Amino acid sequence: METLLQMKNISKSFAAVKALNDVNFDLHTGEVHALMGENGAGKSTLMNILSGGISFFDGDIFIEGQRVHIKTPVQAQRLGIAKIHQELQLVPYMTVAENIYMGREKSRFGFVSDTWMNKEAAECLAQLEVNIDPSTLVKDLRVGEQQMVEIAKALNMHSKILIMDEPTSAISKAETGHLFTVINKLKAQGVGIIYITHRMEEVFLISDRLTVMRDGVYVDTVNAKESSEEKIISMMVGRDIKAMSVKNKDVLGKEVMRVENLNFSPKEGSFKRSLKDVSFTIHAGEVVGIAGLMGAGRTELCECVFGVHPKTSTGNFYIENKKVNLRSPGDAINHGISFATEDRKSQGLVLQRSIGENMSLPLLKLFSKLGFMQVQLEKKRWVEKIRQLNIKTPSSKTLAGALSGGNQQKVILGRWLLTNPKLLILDEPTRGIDVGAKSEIYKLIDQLAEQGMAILVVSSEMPELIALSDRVIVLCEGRITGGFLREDITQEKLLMAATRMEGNK
Amino acid sequence: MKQLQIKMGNTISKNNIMGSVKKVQSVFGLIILLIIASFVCVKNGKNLFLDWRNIMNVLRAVSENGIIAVGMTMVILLGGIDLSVGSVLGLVGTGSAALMMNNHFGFVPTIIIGLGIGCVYGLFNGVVITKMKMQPFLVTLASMSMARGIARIWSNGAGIPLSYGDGLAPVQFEYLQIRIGGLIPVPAIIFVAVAIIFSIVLNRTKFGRQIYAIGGNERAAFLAGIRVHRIKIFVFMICATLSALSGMIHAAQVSQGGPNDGIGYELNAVAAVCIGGTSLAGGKGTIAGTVIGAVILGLLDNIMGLNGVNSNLQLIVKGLILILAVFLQADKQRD
Amino acid sequence: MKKSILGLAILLVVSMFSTGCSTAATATKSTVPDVSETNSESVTEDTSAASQTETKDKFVIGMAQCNLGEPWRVAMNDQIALAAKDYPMFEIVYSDAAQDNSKQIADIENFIQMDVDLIITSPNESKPLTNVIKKAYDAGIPVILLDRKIEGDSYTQFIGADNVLMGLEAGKYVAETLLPDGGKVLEIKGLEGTSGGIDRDKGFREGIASNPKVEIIAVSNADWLREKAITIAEEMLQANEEVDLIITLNDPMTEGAYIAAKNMGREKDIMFVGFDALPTPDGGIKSVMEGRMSLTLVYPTGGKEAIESAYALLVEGKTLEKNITLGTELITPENAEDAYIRYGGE
Repeated sequence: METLLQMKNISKSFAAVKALNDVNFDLHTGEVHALMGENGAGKSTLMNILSGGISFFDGDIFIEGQRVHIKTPVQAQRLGIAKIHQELQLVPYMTVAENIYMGREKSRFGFVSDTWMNKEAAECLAQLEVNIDPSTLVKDLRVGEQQMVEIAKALNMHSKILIMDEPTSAISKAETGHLFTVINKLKAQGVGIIYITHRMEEVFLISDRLTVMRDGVYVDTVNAKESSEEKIISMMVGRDIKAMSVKNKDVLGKEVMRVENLNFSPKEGSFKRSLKDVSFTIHAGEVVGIAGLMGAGRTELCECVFGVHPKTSTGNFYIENKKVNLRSPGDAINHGISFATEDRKSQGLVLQRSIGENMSLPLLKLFSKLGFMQVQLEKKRWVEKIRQLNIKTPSSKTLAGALSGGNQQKVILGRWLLTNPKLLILDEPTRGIDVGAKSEIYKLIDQLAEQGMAILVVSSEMPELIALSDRVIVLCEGRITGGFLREDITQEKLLMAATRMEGNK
Repeated sequence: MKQLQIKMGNTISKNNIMGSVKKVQSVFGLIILLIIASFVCVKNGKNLFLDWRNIMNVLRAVSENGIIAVGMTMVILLGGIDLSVGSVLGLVGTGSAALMMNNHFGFVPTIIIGLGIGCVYGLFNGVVITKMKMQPFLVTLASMSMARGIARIWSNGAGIPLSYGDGLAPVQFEYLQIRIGGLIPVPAIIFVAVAIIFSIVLNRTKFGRQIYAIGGNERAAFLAGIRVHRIKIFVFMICATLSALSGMIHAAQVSQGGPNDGIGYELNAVAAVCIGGTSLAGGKGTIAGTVIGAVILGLLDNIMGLNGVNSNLQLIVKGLILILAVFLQADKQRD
Repeated sequence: MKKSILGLAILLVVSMFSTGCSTAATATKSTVPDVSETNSESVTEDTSAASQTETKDKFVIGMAQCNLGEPWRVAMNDQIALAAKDYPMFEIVYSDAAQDNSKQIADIENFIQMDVDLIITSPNESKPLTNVIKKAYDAGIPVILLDRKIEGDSYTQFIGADNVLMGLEAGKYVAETLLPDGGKVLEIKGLEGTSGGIDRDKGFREGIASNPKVEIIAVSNADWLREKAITIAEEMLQANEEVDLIITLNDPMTEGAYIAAKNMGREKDIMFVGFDALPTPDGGIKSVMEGRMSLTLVYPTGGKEAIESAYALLVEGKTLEKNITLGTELITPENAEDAYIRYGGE
């Protein structure tokens, strides 16, 4: 086996955040090399660089010993690198065949031959033992089938290096089996495959070597045969970090919310995770963290509790022991639930309006008399919140779009704090915020819990989650796979629960 | 230059009407036009433009479009559009004439029914758009056609001339087009009143905030508990009702309920809204801007008319002005 | 940004002065006389033009057209411009309302504001334009109406052919010469509210009354427009299997009906009748010459007569008759070629 690919001393920063710090990675011909790490470890960034999605970075890339420059996806393709994306990149309104041959259609005098494309696509799909008519429109396929098409598309490019990013996340066991057969065939042909997944059993089934990354740094590379799940997880997690503050919560406040048998079946075609039989409770003054990998359904859980999917979800909700219907965000707000979304810009802020107006948005009724806004009253509250959260802005009239990311996050927090909720749901509250602001937010969460607010926190940063929470619930592929009290929490335990598949409780 | 723009565009000045007028870029255009008009429209030593009668003529001429444009502003702020306004104008103009001349309805019942038709029409538009999740462009394009058909059926295809007196139309209806003191046209008064009322609504009420929020980021508004569908339906109702009002004023001004009147008026309304600085994408714009936009359109017609500019050239100039005005507004939004 | 506004301002001003004292007709057929912009020294302070004994050497005439989308009206404006060439003291200012009543009202208000010496106009519809024309008339501006009337008599002179007579002649010809043994007729009318249309229709029905076997089986409106007539005629032909003759109230609509019939392969079985008979390449006389139409009637625009009346009134100080009725002529395949030349066609 020769060295097919070498990535040396790769570093990349996004603004002030260092996503990759002097990372090395290599790949042999005919090898399946797994790339592992938590959310934010840097795997995606590294593979993005390899597939030409990032033009500027430090470090060198060598293919078959030759130094190469990869600045665009086209260049990467020409060098024989193909990528199967985690988020499907298919065009829904075109056929399977058209998608597979996108950009590489064989044409005669500019006319594309449908019959030729369909025939070739059919052969390609047959190899994967997938039973799909190539002339079907992609939007009419199940997500699993769509993923197979994405795989077929990448395979069709006859590349030397194949990157697979969570290729099995939406397909069945049977389809996974077919995929592995194809992977083995490719191995025999000398293709090098980089395999990213969080599914431990798969990793040990299919890969030859494993590389672990953590916090943008390269940790180690091992042979699959010589390693084990526990060893890998401990590499991924690093040292166990102690909780950031000591909490004495011997007495639980009264129950604020109880969720029973929440089931969520998203519409075909939406990229949301379905939820199965999710039940939990949360008490006054309690901080409950929700852990899980990306795509596990954490955000969907928050949304369902907030009444965003009344038509596609079922379940029983009890607020302070009274049964309630949560059929819209308005209902949730009226019952004292607030939800600060993960994506502030697109889901939270109206960028062309002022900070103050953004904060008042859920409370228009409260701040108005006979339909007219009581601007003086509003202003008082705005100024209070701006001071409390230390939002850096010249005035409450500044447009929300003019603030930095961290301050925007605070505005959203300000909004939901103004509503004085019983239950505050925070989805990734410190994403994109600098360290200084982060600790302010941690302090705030503590304070609020002290004052009796129930807080549900979703965070992809394990240490943060562990530090904040009294209790942690773990979600894996839409189900609750673990619940831990503060004293028992370790990152390994959380990660194990987060990577378990169905039926493996 | 971009930095400067961002700084300038950073604050929403006081939530009042003067504040929004200052913010509006089209004021520059208006002032320039006024200056041009004052100099260019002089004939035989007489300034044709700077004359009360002429100014009042212009105000009168823009009132119908202006009233419709106020409603259209709110629809566009939501991120939608209403193409049926011209047809509703024709429908209600015809309908009110029919009710008065053929069915001998009195003034107040006619006005109420006329506005009511507008309400119902807007309700239809709004419900189909929200509940059936269809594009406003398509829905109002369809309802534009329907209203026109209803108008023609109601009047049997011909216009219904209005005569006032016993056994005919009520005299009060004629008041809708008279000039108070021989000078100030009632339609202009109504236009200004409507503009002021809805400017206050947009700037100072809960409803106004909800409209700007939905237009700016519908998802965020939804997640903040705003009942998006309800607001949308209401806004479409307002727009159609204002078109209905304009229809009755129009009928009074041309002394006839014409089923073919109002064709193309939706484009004038959108032009006024765009020249006034409202973004077609939603979330950004003011009534004051629309008023200025409508006045600019009227001034253009006036200046060119008083100077006998070739009518085909007029069309070209108007088109160029629209492009220019939208281009100027777009600069601000690229922030 | 400000530069663009300035640039626009310059564009506006330039366009203003380049057509400033515009006498440009909207059609390019007639050449435009270059009227100079010299201001007359002897302008009087009294701006109401009621007095006919003023010795002015410059008169401004406002021509408010209702719809230059109609070729007949383009010809009207052309003929006015042509006639005005002989009278260098006349400056004509044109406006077009594109079939919008409100626009025409505003146009005439502008003319009042400009204090023109005379207004010539074809009102779009009679009732809507009555008030504003009355306003001009009462303010002392003489008004000459061409082709279409208003309600009441607040105007100086009406010049038009007798549309009732024309309709009558057409009807008689159809009843006696084209369909002597009777037949089924489709009628396509113009814009409902126009007096000319009402009159032609009235006259036509009287004219065919002499032959009870001639039957109008369907009636519709195409607003004087050719394109509209194509669609309308298609529908009517679709709904009626047996059609012997189609009459529309103006030539463009008749051409449209012809096209519709041709598309359905039925043009040979049907006769076509229209009105206006313009001596232009796209006019009715040519249509008869080329065999598409069996009959059209000359509808003089009265443009020339309007200018002559204006001269008589403004310069010579004569009083005008209230009504001038212009004559008409039937154009048939027999006299079409000859008529074309006679009326000045090229």
